[in-house]
Parts: sequence; C-alpha cells; structure tokens
Amino acid sequence: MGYSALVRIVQSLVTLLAMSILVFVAVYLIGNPIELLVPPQASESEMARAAQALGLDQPLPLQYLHFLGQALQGDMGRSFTSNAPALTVILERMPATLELAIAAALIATGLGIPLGLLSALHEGSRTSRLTLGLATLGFAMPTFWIALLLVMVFSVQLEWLPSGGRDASGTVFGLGTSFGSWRGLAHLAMPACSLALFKLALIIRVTHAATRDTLRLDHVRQAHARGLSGVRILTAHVLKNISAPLLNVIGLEFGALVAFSVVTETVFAWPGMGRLLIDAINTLDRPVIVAYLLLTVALFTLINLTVDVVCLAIDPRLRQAPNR
Amino acid sequence: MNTPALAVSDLRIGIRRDGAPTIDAVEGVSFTVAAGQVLAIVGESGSGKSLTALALPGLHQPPVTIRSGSIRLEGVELLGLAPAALRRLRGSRIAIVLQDPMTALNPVQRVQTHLIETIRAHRPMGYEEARERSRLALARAGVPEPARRLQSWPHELSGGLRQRVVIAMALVNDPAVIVADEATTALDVTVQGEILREVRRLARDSGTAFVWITHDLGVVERIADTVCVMYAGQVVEQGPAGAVLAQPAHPYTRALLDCVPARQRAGTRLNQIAGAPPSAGQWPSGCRFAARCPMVRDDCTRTPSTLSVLEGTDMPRSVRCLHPLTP
Repeated sequence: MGYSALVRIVQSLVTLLAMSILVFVAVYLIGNPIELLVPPQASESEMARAAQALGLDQPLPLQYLHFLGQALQGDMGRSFTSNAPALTVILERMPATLELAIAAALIATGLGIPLGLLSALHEGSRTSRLTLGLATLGFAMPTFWIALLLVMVFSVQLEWLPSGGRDASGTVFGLGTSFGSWRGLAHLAMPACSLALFKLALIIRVTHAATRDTLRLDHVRQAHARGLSGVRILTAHVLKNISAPLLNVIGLEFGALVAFSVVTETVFAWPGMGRLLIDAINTLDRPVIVAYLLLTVALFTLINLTVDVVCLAIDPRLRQAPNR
Repeated sequence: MNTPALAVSDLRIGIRRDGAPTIDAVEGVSFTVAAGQVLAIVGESGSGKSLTALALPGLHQPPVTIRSGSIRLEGVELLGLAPAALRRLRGSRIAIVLQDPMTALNPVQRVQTHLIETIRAHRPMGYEEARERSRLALARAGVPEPARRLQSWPHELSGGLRQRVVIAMALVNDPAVIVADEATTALDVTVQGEILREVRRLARDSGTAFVWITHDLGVVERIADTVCVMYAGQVVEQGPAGAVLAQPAHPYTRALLDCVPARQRAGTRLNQIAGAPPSAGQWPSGCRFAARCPMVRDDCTRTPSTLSVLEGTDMPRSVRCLHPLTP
C-alpha cells in the first residue's frame, strides 16, 4: 500500500513534468505572443523591451528552466495579458466550473445508476430496451447541439430559463454559489443538464452491463436460495460488487467534467475555467495555459488516488499482494 | 405415519424455447426423504438431476418450467406457492448447496455477513446473537477456528473451507431439507471424505434430510440411505442404496457400477458406457437406454419402459426396465 502510493506519486510527478514540457514547446511553436500583446504600430525596440520584460527574449530551454524553478516554489508565473498570477486567475474561475461539474455528476449518477440497475433487473422488457436505446441516443448526440436545443426550447420558446450566465448571489455556508438561490439554480439547470446527458448515458450503460453480469453469478443465486429479500440482494450482493468498476468510471468522468466542459461553458456563457482556457489559447497566454493543464493533471491524479483508496475499502481482494 | 421432510411426486420439468413446443427434460420423478435420511440422485450430465435439484426450492429460471407434479416440504405444497411465501421457506426450511464453492460466496462480503443475513432474513434477531449462532453453525459444518473464520473474506479460504461455509449457511436456520448439487465434486478426495462424514453426522444429529445430487457412485455408497438413478430425464431405478449398489436391477445402474475404477481388477482397461445419452427433445420411442444397453432385446426399442416395483425383493425397489436383471 505504501509502496504503491509512492509509485503513484512519482508517476504523477513525471506526468506533470512531461506535460509542462509539452505545453511549453507547443505554445512556442504556435506563435510569438509578443505580436499579440503589443499594439500593431509598436516599434522593434518596443517589442524587444516587452519581450525582455516577460522573459521571452531568452532561448526556450532557459525559459523553461526558469519556469520550473519558479513552479517548484509554487509560483506558476503571471498572465501575459492581465499580469495577475496565473494560478489566481484560474482558481478564481474554478468554483463556477466545479459547481457545474458537481451538478452534472449528481444528475448523471443520481439518474444513471437507478436506471441502469432497473434496466438490468428487467432485462428484455420494453422499459429496459427503451432506456438503453435512449442511452445510445445520448451517446450519439453532440453536447453543443443538445445545449443549443435546450436554449431554443426553454429560453426562446417557453422563456422559462435564462439562456446563459451564472448567478452566484445566493450563499451556502457563506460561499456564493448557484446552489444558494432559485435564480442561481435556474441559471445552472440547462448547462448542467446538457453536460450531464452524455455522462448519464455512459453511466446507464456501465451500470446496466455490470449489473447484468453480476446477476448471473452463483453468489446471487445462492443469495436467492437463502431467502434474502430482493432489496438485500440488490444492495449487499449486487450494488456493492459493481461499485468498484462504477467508481472508476465516475471518477474519470468527473475529472473530464471539470477539465473539459469548454463547449458547454461557451454556449451558456458560463464564467468557468473552460472559457478561460480558450481565451488563454487565443492570446497565447502561456503561463495560464501551462498552469491550467498542470492543474488538470493534478486533479486527475487526485481523483484516481481517491477512487483507488475507496475501491480498496470495498473489495478485499485488491488488498492482497498480487503474487497469486 | 409421519409426514416426510420432502415428498416429490410425478415431477415433470420442461424447457420452453421461443417458438418451439416445450420439451420435457425431466419426467415422472417421485421420491420421499424422511427426516435424518440422505437420498442420493445419481446420473450422468444431462440426466436431469441438476434441473431436479434446482426445481426443489423453486430456483429454476426461465426457460425452465415445472409442468406438473408435486413438491411437498413438510406437508406444504411448494408448487403454486406465492413467491413471497416461497422466499420465506428458502433458506429457513429448505436450503441448497451449489456445486462450485469458489463462486457461491460474495467476494466483497465477509463470512459472517453471509451467515448473519441468512438468519435475519427469516427471523428478527440481534446482531450479537445472530453472530453467535453463525459461529455455532460454522462449528457444526466442521470449520476449524469458527470465531476467527467469521471475520474472514471468502478469498482467504480454501475450496474445502468455502464449501463448509456454504454448508453452514444452509444449516444455520435448521432447515428440514438440504439439497446439495454436486457439492463435493470440485473438492479433492480427502476434503470430500471429511465433508461427507460431516453430512452423515448432521443428518443423524439434527434430523436434517439431505438430497445429494452426484454423478459419483462412491459418494452414494458413503452417505446415501436411498438412491435414485436417473437417465435421460427419467428415474430408471430407485431403492435402498445398499441393495441397489449391491445388486443393480437396471442395466444402466450395472453399467455405471462397472465404470467405477475401484471396483475393477487392476491392470484391466477401464470400462465405459459406449455411446452418448440422448438429449432432451430427442427421446427415443422405446426404452431411452436401449441404444446403449448391452442387454438390449427386440422389444426394448419399441415399447416404452415404465417404472415398476421390482418383485422378489424384501425392500421397496422399483426399476424402469422390461427385462430387469435378476439378483
């Protein structure tokens, strides 16, 4: 356990390092940010001065080493455009993205797991086939299209929900969040639903497949033979068994929700991290891009680690040394 | 006369396939088991013995259906019983031990969880009391260090121990009948021997009736009071185990006995029954064993054989053969 945790941490550090090099080189190849930062009529010497101020006159390897040295001290550099610390710029936007991801994850798991279970319990019934068919449809429809459709129906036609923006005026435990007021929830509803749809489809299918396979196992038949109630069999002998694979999927997908909700945030003008990344790429704001992607890697690592620990608690077989 | 623990009469089990007529996979199976007795059902794979075993506690699943007959558990008819009522009897009055001990336990639940939930599914009982009762059940099933084993996870136990845990689960509520479907087949011989001894002791001490499904006549010899020999979905011979094994009346029983290596002289070729049994839905019109029978006569392939009482024996025996072997 201690050893595997150490391996995991070293792996994560290597990933972070590789990621930072990759992003550095990639942004360098795309273009010179100086040309975007200074006014078009600026003279050669003005551009050189700006480049010098941002450290962009140095060779790339030196720039990278400089960045690395700063990063190790917790300083991810300053945004080229706003001159604010890159990390602060990102963290300011994080709550908006997090609450969108959490809302979407709640919808996807809260609906997906029961629907997946039911469709496996009533395998072959009309309701089961309909659920699975709709789930397949959910896979096939692109998120941005769903988002536009929702806006068309609920904002334009029915005028029930606002078409974009975020309202964090309500508070929960003193934190300003969309969950704090009805207006906040109304703003959150459509982006969360459109983001959740694909994940919902995925969780339905994963739950369905895992449940169907588990129901066929001998220990479930043995549980029936012992006269256990249906609820007991479902919770103790089916749900507990499928929870480890399910958690792995949910963990990964939650990470993806946080990191890559760019499209949805754009459509609904949601002031989250995704839009920040797009803006940063457009202005070649390298410190923000690098900090964002490193944060993403750290987030995925953290989620995976959490999932691993929870799975160890659930399944005793994983706790054994893999020597058999 | 006392009500037998289990009385099955004229059980007919069908397999329903989409669009095709229902096929009879088992027919005319009748037997009774008294408290404390062990009945063995012997046959090759495909003989219908496992279908019969699963049908007894109502665990058969579509496309398998019970078409007719009667299964009485302590005088209560199980066929046609509401699912909820059947569930209350399963695990409390009739229990089943399945073939593979490696998969019968849920890998993510401790041994004690399995036992305690089995108790509490059938009667309200405090956790500590149920745990103590579980410990006693493990001890009765011959699990060493039962208090420690309660805490174990299934994967920490050997195959033999797991099967003892499954047997402990079966007997934890003191059922009238325990059905065991090839319960020792997956275990090695010494473990099998120990478990069979435990089973005999349990039958004697707690008055539990056992229905022991096996393909192994050696097992029958060691534990059974009575035996049912099945072939191609029918009972071909039944009676007291000692008498049937000593002097089989049906050529199939004789052939099975001849295949037991321990009964053959050293250095001779191992016997086997030539050919394969017919499969459900393709039953021949005459005796179903005729095609493989070494003593087949002309009328065997034309006249269906019926199960009839064997004359000239002092104990009740019956045989399904037009020309039974005479002792």
